[in-house]
Amino acid sequence: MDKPKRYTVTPPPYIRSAERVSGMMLDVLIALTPALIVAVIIFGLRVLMLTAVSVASSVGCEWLWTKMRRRKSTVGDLSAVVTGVLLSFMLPASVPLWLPAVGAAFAVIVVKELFGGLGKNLFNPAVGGYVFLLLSWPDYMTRFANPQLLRRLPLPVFATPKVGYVRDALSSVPDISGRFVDATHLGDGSLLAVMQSGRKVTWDLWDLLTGMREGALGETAVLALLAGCAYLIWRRALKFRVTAGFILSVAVLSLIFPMGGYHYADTYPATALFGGMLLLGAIFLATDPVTSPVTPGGQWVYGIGCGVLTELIRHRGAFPDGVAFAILLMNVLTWTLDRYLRPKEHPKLDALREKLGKKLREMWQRVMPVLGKAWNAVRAKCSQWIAAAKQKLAEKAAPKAETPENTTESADKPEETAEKTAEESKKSDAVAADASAADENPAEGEEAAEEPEAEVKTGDEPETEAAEPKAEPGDETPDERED
Amino acid sequence: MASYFRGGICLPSAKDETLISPIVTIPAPEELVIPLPDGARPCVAVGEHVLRGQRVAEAADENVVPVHAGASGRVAALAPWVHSSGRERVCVAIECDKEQQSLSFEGIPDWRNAGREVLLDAVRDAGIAGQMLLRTAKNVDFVIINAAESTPYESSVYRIVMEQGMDIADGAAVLHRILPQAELVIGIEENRTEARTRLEKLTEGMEGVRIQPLSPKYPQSSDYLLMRSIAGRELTREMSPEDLGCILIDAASAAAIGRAVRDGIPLMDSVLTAAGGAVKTPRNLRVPVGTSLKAVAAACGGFSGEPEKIIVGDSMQGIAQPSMNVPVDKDTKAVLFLEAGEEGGEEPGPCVHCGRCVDACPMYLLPCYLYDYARLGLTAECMNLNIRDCIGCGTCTAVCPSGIPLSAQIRETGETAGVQEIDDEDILRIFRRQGGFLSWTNRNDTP
Repeated sequence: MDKPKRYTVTPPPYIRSAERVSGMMLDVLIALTPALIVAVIIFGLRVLMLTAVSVASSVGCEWLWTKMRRRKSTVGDLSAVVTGVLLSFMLPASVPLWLPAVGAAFAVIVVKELFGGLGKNLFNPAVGGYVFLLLSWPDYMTRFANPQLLRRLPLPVFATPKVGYVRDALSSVPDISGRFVDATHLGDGSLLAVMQSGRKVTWDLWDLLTGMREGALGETAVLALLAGCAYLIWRRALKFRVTAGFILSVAVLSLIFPMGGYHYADTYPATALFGGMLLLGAIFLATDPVTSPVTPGGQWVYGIGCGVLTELIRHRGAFPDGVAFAILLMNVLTWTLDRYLRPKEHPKLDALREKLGKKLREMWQRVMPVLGKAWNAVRAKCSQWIAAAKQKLAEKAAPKAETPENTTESADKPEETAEKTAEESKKSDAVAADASAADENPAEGEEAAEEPEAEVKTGDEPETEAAEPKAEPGDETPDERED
Repeated sequence: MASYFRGGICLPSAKDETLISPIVTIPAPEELVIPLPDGARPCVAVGEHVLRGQRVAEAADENVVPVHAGASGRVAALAPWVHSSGRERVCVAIECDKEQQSLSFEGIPDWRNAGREVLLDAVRDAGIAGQMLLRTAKNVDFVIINAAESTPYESSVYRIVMEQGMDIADGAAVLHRILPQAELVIGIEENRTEARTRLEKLTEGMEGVRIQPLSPKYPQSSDYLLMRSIAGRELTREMSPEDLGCILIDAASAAAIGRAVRDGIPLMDSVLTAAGGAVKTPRNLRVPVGTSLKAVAAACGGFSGEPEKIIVGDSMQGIAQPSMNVPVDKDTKAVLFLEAGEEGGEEPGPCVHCGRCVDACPMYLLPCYLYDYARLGLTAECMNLNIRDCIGCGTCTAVCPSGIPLSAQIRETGETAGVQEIDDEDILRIFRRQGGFLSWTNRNDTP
């Protein structure tokens, strides 16, 4: 007798999330793109070259390492790409091209792979690579070209520029190596370094926000970084408690303890928040999932701890910006924070959270159909305009073919198309309103499931509409016309 | 009481078709293999002819209920057979007649005013489990009827409410008479508005009965979270709901209680959702207990693709079956025939500590750390992190971007962690069989 077919038996649950680690990394890369674009605008194409070298080095080193260890290549999870991009964002635009290559190799091989690969590293690889470069080549890493001056003399893409401090040229204070530098470009230390040296600093807030200041190529573009942060929050791909804790603690501390005494009381908070590597660190570096805590309480303490250490190092430490060191120091505490700050039940807080969540959902449900209708109205208007414009072009192209009958026809057609598009837009409004009301709440959109017959009917309508002949070029292929 | 609970996940619904399809009663299959609970003695002999509704097993002690035949036929065998839970049970195999004959059923006249003992006996005689609890439970504050269905495929409870809502209301009335001092709450998700309003209308005017809207997140339908949301009490694995003054009954059983008392019909059918990408028409079915999964699949129009996994239960807490010759039991609510790819069988990646599992766990656990410690065998660390609080909902695995089998490992280790040294091999084997899913993949004793 045949043995009946056996099926594989595995434990439940029989479901797999649609997310992947590579998807999370891709979200981070997308969030970094605005900052990259702004950096290219401010610092020139050299930025692209540096980033490319960094990414090539990090990906290549990870690939080589996994081959050497006779394992499957882990390059597909895109974590090396993120490390490469983040490392290059922390560098001045004027560093030699081999510098990010060396730094990325260190970051990937020593900081990540030697500890066991993705998920097992103790320290943030990009920050570890940055600190390695900072301590090994301080002269390259602490000179920043002045972005205003770069408009007249842009940075070379391949050759290594030499940035000299402006003050060396104008005063007798020697540079870090004790002699005058043979500079090709003029710049300065970072904003915080200048402040800490005791010099009076004036800047324009708009310059700070758009990135026109001396600084690392990825840290200056405040607005672009914030746009990336908004994208990550929307995609739920950010450990936002770390970011919030970090930024809030720096803001509070900078208000209480301004640098340079109380003369700078009103300007220091903005400098502290926008004038260093804080935003890059709080949004992209400290929130590295592997090296930051998993528990909510742990994430808050981690973020606040990073902020406290950052300000401490800025005020009292030897380095102008303490973000990188603060992150590395808090990385050490990640496991401890997870162990002692486990999630606990807060019935009252949970009830409050639920009420707030419900209110927000209700508001969103009221707003979305209106937005949907507005969008459809705009689309309908645009297609009307396109149709009318095409009509006019067609008339101009064939003026001889205009007989009295043709002219009346062509005069009628725009009206017809206007009517039809108005009809279609009304119907598609209704469908879109249903669809958007049903879509944006997958949980509570069970109303869609409960009235599926109604939905099936409205679903049918646009199909029959599409079959009708329409003078709407660009929207349909000729195949769909049923004449 | 707030229906909010921490964590959980709104699972993508795979039941849009079955929610609107009414329950289909299929004709009797070729054979039934009716599993008997431990402690039930068969009261028919091989070769005897039984009618639908006839008792085939008597209760040997108070805690067990009798078993009835769901279709008429000739008793073919009384032998052990594999059960969907993975253990073996003694079963009554019946070859069904082409022409079905049924016993006539009589309910209790004037049951609304009947005495408590009369009602309890009717419930027991109808073969509805849990009757002992109703009899002996003391200090019951809540009777909770679970009409929540937060899993992706199951829609049988929704259809029972929509089509047999009167049975549930009658069952609630019976339960109220049995336990008059307890508050009877029917919990149903807040977004199932049609079902909720129907229940509200049916139970209007019944004192001591109320409908509670619940969160649509999974795992709201789990016992632990029902007790938290409705009664505000924290259930742990070491206790049962009765210890906390609650009795939990699922909606199908409540409907069965109503039917048993009002019409005298015993529990011999199971309403289940048969779904999955591998069957042609997913639908809700009413099948006699003991129908094989093969017959269930045939009732769905057969297979449209090769099934990769057969699951009794829903996709989150169901049990994969090694073959289709497994019978349906009284408490089976869903049978899934999944195609390859519906479940995602990729290799798990490394844990990147993204924290999604921690945010999703309704029991305030750290699944990623528990998984690591469990794999390394560090049971003391696991106990430190309260591994025994895990209710096995599987939400952590559902949200993990690396696809790590967190829940399975945590459940397996949690079964035996912290339990005192066990010498008895038999007990160890039972632990492994009941909770040790990971060791189940080496099973060879299947029919």
